Amino acid sequence: MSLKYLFAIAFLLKGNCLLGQVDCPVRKTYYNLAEALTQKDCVKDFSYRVRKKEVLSTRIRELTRLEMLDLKSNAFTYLPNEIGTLKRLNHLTLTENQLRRFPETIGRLTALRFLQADQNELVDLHPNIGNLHTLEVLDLDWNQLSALPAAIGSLTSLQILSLAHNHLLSVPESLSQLQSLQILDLSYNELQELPERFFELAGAREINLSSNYLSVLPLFSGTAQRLITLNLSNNRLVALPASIAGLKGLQVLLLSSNRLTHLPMELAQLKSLKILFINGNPIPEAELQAFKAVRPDLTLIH
Amino acid sequence: MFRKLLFTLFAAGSLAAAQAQTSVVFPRNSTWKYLDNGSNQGTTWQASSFVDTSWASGAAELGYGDGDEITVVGFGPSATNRYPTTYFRTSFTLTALPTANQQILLRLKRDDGAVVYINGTEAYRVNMPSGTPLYSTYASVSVAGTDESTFFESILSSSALQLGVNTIAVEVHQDRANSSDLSFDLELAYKTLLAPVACDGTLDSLHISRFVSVLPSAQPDSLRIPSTHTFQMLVQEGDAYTNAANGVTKGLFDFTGYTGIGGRSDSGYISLNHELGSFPAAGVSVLSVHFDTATHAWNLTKNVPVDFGPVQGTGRNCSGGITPWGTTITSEEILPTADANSDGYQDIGWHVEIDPATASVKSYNGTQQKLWKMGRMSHENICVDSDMRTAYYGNDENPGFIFKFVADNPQDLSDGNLYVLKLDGALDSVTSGKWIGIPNNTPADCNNTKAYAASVGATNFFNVEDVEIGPHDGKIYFTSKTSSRVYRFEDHGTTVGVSDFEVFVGNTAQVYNIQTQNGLVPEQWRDGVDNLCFDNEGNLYVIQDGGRNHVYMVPPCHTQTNPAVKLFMVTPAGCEPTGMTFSPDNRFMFISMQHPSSTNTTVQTDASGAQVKFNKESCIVIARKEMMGPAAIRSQTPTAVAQVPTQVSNLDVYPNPTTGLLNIQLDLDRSAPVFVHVYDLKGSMVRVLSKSMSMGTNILTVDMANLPEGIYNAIVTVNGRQHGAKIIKK
Repeated sequence: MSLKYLFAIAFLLKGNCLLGQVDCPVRKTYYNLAEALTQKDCVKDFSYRVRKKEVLSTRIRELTRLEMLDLKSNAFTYLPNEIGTLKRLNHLTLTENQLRRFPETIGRLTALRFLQADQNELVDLHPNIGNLHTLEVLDLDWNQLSALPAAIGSLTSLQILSLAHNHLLSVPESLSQLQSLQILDLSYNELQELPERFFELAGAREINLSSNYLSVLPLFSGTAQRLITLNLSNNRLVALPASIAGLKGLQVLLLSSNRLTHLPMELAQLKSLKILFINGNPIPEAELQAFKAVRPDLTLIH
Repeated sequence: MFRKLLFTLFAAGSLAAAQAQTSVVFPRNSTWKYLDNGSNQGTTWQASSFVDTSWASGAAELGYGDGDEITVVGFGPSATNRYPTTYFRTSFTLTALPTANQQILLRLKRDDGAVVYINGTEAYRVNMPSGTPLYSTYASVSVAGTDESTFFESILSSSALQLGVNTIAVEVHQDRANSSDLSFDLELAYKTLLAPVACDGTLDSLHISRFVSVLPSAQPDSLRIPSTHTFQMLVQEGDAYTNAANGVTKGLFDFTGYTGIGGRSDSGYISLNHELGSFPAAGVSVLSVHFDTATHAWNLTKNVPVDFGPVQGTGRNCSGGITPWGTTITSEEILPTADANSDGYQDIGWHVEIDPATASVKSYNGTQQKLWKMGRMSHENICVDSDMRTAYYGNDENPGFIFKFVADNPQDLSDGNLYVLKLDGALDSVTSGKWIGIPNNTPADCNNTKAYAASVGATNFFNVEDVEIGPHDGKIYFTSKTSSRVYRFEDHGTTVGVSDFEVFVGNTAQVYNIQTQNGLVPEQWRDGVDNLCFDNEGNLYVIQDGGRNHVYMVPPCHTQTNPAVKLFMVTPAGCEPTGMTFSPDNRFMFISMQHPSSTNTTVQTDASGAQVKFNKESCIVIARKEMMGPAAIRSQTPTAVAQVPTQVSNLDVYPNPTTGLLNIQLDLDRSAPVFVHVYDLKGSMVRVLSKSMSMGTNILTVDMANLPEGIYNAIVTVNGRQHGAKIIKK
């Protein structure tokens, strides 16, 4: 068969979609499932905010090329298992629903990079969440979580983990395995203690532990060199470990509203420290003035 | 759970129900006939004509077992098998029926269940199963505790009473055979709804704020605005951008900010936010709009997306603000983002200033950047004072704070000092407060603005949605979404602090009487106060994201003691109204409807004659009919001419097919305004033009160059009559 005929056949196959290619309209966000299903081989972005909707249609599985799914502000009490079939999904927003759990199939979203499920009623996380090895952002603020599965330590790509305003009583040791983690927010929980290796998060730039019940901290690991901001305000800290001096990159330290009676001089060794909030602690004024004299370059809020 | 508890606490502290006065027409403690002999009276006892002279008589409260009865009635020989039903009758004379603004208020004390008949007709039942109550029917549940002595209020049908003698018959049922007590008393009153205070008498009769409130209701599938006003659809989600390469207009419309070119009210830009969760889905579209004074309609001549690439994109562009120097600020809510470009600032969660004329991010010191020094948070909006330096805003989070920024230099918000508000007294009291400085020197400072505010003990206002400056009093007004209140205070500067902090309007449970064309209608304020907008007369438009998603208008004379609340808009089903602004002369209001239901089917005719549906994101302009649309045209057209329809002939479109410009030619037998709407096959409007045409042959040119190839429909409207033409774009 001549080359000319081969080219003609290939051209015809392309035009008849036999090579799996589809002529799709300009990429846009669809807001209506019925309309999206008419272009199901093309839809990459779907936003569905209808407030009173309690159940997501299982036909969502037919949007096989879906990359962004925005389900904010509905009344979903659960998600269908079919959501796990969306292999290309990389962005999932579930903010402001009534979910108590993720479906087991959540772990099959192997392309997922962004998962935002704040303002739900999640009571626990399925261990399958640990299969989301491409996940970079996990936002679970304002839920009902009291514990985390150890599998959370398997989220090797996770950069941002936000768990503020839950009911966490503890966090697993495996949290320290999140070496890609840059931002960790555990504020407004019920933590009384932290795992021994908590501060071995080598990549962490910002850790927020404010508004918990911490009275003591584990040692600060020398690996936490990238830490820029550490928020420990509104806890029950009576002392700080001397190893805090190892946080060479620390610029912002918030210790407001604790029970510190003494300002450790190790803080003066933090040459990168630019601002220190120490108000709301029973520290003698003389000690604060002495600290200021040692570090006149530091902004001391007291 | 915590948020629900907060909501409950705020709701429990609400003020009294709708403003009303009551006048008793039949008092409690009256004398009743009663039958307590365990006999089944059937139904004849309910009638007015029933003869009850053989019944016993006594003053209320009637009953037994609680020790507080004035008249003790019998229950039979067995304490474990008491009579299930006791009957009561009385009559009274009514000299006046309720007026249109009065409701018949029933106050009933009953233990356990009761059915009330007035003049032989059942008027009310409580705690009783449905169906015909028999002598042996027990009440649904047991009444106990304080409920045994409470007068519960209900509104009866306005036709329940008659002039002259009225007979009341009541059967009180036990919940079980061994019930230990029975209680009964009844009162009738007229509840007079008090009209809201009116304070627009000195305003120009054509001011946009002069209207009669619309009827409150749940959202219909169309837009409801006062009959004195009209609207025009400017753009909907999916409408093509001017440059086809940019695709189509994004969704989730939010801030709808009008800036006039040179301060004009008839020519300017609309910066339209897209509250989507990621770049490039989020962002801002800038519409160029011009008001045609001949056709009294707006023309949309350009629609472009702002290029946020130089600042790494934007996310969840929520509301924003218009600066006194004519730029627009788009305000990002927070997304959990890192610092992708390693400039030290986390990527999303900032105010961003835009020049709408160029649809680009403003540069400071030669660099396009976000407004870092104002701090990172879930911004909602911003208002900039006429001093060109001071700005106020809050964060839509819990904790939510009120911030004040004072720029170092006028018209330059890239640097300045940041403060947060801390009240001296309780949140719901009239109190004072102080501004506390927040460090904002380094990127780390700016990233941690909220943490700094919490650490210095700033007052938590629970989800601050919008902050505005009153043009009439200079006070600062802001919404707290959690409590559904609008607060206000007077700012005396960062050194002196604030005074007169108080609740201005609202609270979830608060009920206001709305004066409609059909009379007074009590309407609960409900939850979800969101955006605010003042007109130039100090009327405050309160826009809800929650409740019934209303747009209220609260004039400056309003107080919580003497309310003046009006209802300006009932919005289409499924939607949240967003982002209101006004033209400088306040003739035109710009607002959007975010995510109306795709199943809304009602077709409405807008001021340009277009047939529109609110079934997708919609950006509209609203004005009084004297200012926009056919009524505005007629008001300037001699009556004799306006009564005779203009004849259209020889309609022609060429070249067709077209690759660029398209001429629409038509002959008119007299001068008239002509509107042209061009739609794609999906029904999206891609072009709208208007032109005042003269008698004879006229040509209007439509630029189709940047539209995708395909088939389009042009609708030419002249004096309400439509003429269509198919266009092929190559």
